[in-house]
Amino acid sequence: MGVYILKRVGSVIPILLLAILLLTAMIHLSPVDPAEAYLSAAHIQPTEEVLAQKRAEFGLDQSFLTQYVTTVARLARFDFGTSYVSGKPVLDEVILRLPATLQLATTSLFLAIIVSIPLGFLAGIRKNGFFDHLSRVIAFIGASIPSFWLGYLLIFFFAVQLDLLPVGGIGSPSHVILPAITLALPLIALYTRLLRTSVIETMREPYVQFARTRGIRETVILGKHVLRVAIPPMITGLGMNLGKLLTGTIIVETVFSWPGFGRYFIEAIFDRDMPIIQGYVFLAALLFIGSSLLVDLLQLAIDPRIARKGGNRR
Amino acid sequence: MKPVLSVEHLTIETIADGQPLVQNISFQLAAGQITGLVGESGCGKTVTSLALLRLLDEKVIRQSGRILLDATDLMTLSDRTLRRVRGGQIAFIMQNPMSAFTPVFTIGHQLMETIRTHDQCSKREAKERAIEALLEVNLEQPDRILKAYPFELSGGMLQRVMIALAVCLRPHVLIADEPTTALDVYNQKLVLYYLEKVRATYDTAILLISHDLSVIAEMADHVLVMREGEIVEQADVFDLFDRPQHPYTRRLLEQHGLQAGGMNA
Amino acid sequence: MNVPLGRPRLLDRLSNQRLILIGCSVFLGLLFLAALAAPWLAPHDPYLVNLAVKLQDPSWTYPLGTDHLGRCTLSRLLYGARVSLGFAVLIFASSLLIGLLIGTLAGYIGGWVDQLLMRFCDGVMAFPSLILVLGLVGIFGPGLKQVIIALMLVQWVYYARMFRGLVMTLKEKNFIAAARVNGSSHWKIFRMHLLPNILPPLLVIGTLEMGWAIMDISAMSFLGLGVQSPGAEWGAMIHEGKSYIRTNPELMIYPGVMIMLVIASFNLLGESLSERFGMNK
Repeated sequence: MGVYILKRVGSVIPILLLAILLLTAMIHLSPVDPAEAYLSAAHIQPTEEVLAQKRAEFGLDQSFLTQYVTTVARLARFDFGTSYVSGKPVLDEVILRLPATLQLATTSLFLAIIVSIPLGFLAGIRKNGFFDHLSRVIAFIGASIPSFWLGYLLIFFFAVQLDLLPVGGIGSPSHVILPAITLALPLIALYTRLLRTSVIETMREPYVQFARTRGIRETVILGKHVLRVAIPPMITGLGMNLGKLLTGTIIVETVFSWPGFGRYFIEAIFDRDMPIIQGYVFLAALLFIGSSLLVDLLQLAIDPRIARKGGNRR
Repeated sequence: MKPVLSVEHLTIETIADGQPLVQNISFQLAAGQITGLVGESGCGKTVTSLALLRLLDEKVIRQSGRILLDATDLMTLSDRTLRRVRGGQIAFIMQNPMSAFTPVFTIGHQLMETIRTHDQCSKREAKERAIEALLEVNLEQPDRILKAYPFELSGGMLQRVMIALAVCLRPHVLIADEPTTALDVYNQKLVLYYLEKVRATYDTAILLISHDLSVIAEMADHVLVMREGEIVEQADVFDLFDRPQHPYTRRLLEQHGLQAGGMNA
Repeated sequence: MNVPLGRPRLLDRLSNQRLILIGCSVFLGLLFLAALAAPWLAPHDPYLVNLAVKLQDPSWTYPLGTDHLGRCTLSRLLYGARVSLGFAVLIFASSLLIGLLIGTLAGYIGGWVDQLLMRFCDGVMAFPSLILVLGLVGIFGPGLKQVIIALMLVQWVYYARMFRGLVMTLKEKNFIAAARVNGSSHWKIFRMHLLPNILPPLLVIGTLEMGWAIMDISAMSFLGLGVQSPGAEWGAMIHEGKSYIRTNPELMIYPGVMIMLVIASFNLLGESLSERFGMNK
């Protein structure tokens, strides 16, 4: 099993290198001159001398390959450069804002899970029952509604009309409710359907029938045996869709003025703050690769078959 | 000999279009006797066995007739009482042992779960009973087996675990649905041996379902021949093989290369 | 239970499905027509600013009222449809072509070229489209043109995979050769063999992708990175309308409803099509 883990972790590296390659290539191709962008963001007059100096500083006059290697080396040290706007290291800016995003993301994820599991389970055990129809409606809305619009709808109803919750910003627990719900809805839509399908498939398995012949109570069969087998595929699906969560934070943070990394990214795009932009994209790539790795490792823990057979499933 | 299980006029049909799956069958299972149920696939053997435990989806099929276990008609029982019958008084052995147990729980967990569902006892007691039962079917290192997951055991071992489970609860009736089909010759012999042992030790009435006539010939005392939902012939095993009455029975014997009178050869 | 289920349920589902297919197609078709005919349908110039009539309620002159700059909301919605639907089709067509080229190339050549291209596609597919678009826009600068190009670059991978799969099965099955031996013309081969294999997944992926494109275009415009004022686009309208959420929430509600209806129709259509073509598990 250890070998499997090592191999899996190792496979991450070539993908990362490829991602950095693409990133460097795109910047190379970009019509935007980073030196110019920096100077305009820092409000310095872009004279020829200063431009040339900056270009040399950024290593823009070097060959593509050299740039690539330098970038890899820098990123390996977690040196993302310095923000054009604030002059502070990108890493510092990230660390400053990441906690807010993490708070929002984990709250949403938690919300999504505690709603999806019962809903998906109930939808699956009685096909075409009330919960099944409910899950279908929620799934449909969640997949079609633009999250920025949902956010404003919720603000309109709860903050403006009913004045129950704050319009935006951060601070108290009540500040996180609406953003978390907005972020969670598309997730709920997805996870509920995933679990439902998984439950339906599991219920067809022979061992469910055999449990009945053994005289086990139906609630135990469904709640213990079926659920336990049906959940892992949903977790895999969850892991594979962390992208939705990330995209969501960008939009939701903007709508609710939530001071997180996503909103900062958008500001950076407007400011043409290249290091921040690069940093975000790189971290996003890291997140995806990392989460798929995490999900695989989680599967290991949940499904004993994989662990004991050293990585082969069924 | 008073029958342990008496099936009277059992009829099963689909509610949607009234198509009969099992038509008006009647038979009895006596204590300590092995009754074989033969027929080609699709004749209704498995449907019958599930019906005895009332495990068919009653929203989709309609089941009528009487199923008398000792003096109680199973058709009249509530779900909760039926549950105690399943496993506790009528045990079931599935065709495919590899998919009989939930893959994410250990064998021990599932054995003890069954035991504790039927009898109030502590975890330790349940574990002891489980180990005892495993030893009865000569499964070595029962401790290791209890800790194992289903995918770690072979088909033959799992089949024996199922028999052990059946033994644990001392049921009156044991239904074995094609217990040998998924196994190799060696394990087939083992399974049949332990089935016979159960019969002999606990006087259990066994309903042995199989499409394999040689298994029936070897094990059964009494045989039921089923075709398209009906029992076309039932007889003592020797009579059936020596003097098959119904043309279908004769055809079955011929197909299996067993001539009438073969037992006397 | 190994007992057959009743028949009636299946028929129910089939007729429901047909209803959905027809309903969505009709709705989207009408919308397309409305978008095309916008210059004639719209009661006013969507860009005409007239502060004297700003923030008015619906009336005969302005069927859906006016926004904060006195522009007719209905006209802006109609022109917004032109942007969303028009570009969705453009993105569909161009990414289809690119995907066709690259997918066929990968499938035909095979070997390491194929492996490389497919790995690349896997990588792109792993990212949600919005992040990639944002990244590209971040590097190349904001603007509608950049957003459209970014979406094109992101969507072709799905079509590439599809065409590659097709080419590979064709290569193996050799039935083009067999058909030629039979004397079938090129056109017949195309119609009988290729189309039935390519049309279903194409339609399904196409409808779903168009829904996504519209979602992304409006999201980018909402963020201020796509269509910029004074452009009429649903996402941009929400961006502008949000400041008036207390007094005139309808400024934000109308465009949102449009976005949702359109995406929902595409989603429903795609799902029904995939069910109809038997592509579901």
